[in-house]
Amino acid sequence: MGIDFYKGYILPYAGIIIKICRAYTNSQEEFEDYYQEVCLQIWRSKDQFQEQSEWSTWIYRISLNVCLTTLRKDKKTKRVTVEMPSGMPEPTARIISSEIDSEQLLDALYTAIKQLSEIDRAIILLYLDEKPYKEIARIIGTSPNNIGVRITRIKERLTKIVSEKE
Amino acid sequence: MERSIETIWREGFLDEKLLVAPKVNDIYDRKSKMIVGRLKRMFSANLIFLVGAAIALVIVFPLIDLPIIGISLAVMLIGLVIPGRRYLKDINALDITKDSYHYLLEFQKWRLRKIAAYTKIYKIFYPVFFLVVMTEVYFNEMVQDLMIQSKAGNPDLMTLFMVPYPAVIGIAIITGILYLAGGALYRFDLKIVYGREFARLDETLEDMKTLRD
Repeated sequence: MGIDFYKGYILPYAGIIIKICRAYTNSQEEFEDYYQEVCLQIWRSKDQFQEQSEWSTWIYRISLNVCLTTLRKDKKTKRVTVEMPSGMPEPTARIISSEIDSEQLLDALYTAIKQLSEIDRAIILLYLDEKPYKEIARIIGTSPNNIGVRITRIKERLTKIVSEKE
Repeated sequence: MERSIETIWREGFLDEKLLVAPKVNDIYDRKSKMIVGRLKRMFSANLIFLVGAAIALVIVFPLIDLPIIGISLAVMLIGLVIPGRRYLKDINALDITKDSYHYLLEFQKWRLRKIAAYTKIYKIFYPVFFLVVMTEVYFNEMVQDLMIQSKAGNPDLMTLFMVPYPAVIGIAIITGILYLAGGALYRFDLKIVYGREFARLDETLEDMKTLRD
């Protein structure tokens, strides 16, 4: 991957990749592996990009595809868990506290998101990044109505996970 | 006070340091080592399997009255392990301090050398294996009786060590085919076991080559 391509076409959208990779990984090393794999895949598939959608949508799509594929491959060799070691305060418990800083709250939200199914994770990530239902539906490959229903359900579930910790 | 997930998300990412991209300089470095490491583990496991299979053959086949096949095949399998061990040592001798591209190129050359050598070995392995099986068949009592009867019933039948000529010709043809197809059979076997990893290696090398160009 050329440095010019990386700087021009990936780095400005790195935030998208970072947000998605973080939802599918459990360590910094794993996160970096996923991030690099996504960058590579964007570079490899750059010629397939048809300007019918935005470049950022293309990045979302590849990031999600790579994360889901890599996660499935990884699951064959190890079980991905999001359980916290006993005795440690669970981050979701902190989600209700206004005294905790926003970074910790974000950690807690990610921990809750990781308890969702792989596809629900993808949907909520796109929703939280303010993608319209229609675009989420196009990326995921379903109807906007279905996305609407699922988002409502996912939000309820996330809220429930959070409130259980109250 | 409870905050909505949307607010947490928005406020969480206001801190720009959370969106700093990791370095991608060593992207191929890690990938190259990972591929070579995985292939090395697969080669080692394969050699261990061959040794295990050889031991099992020596023990099991005499018990079912097939000692010639058992012992011969075990010797042949060990014959595959010996060069395999040498090739495995050669991987460790590859210069890991070189850049990823040259490291992978060296590994690629090593792989092609190994495949070429084993192609020659398997050209012999499969026909010899077939002849070993035929030898076991030859010494089988029932087959011996059959050959004697067939010679007695037809004194003009031409034989070689009591084996009728048509059978000798058949065995010779099959042996010849196995010799000719031995390399292809080996490459097919290789594709099943290592195909995915080799494809990944080729793909990575191709990427790296494109970048260098």
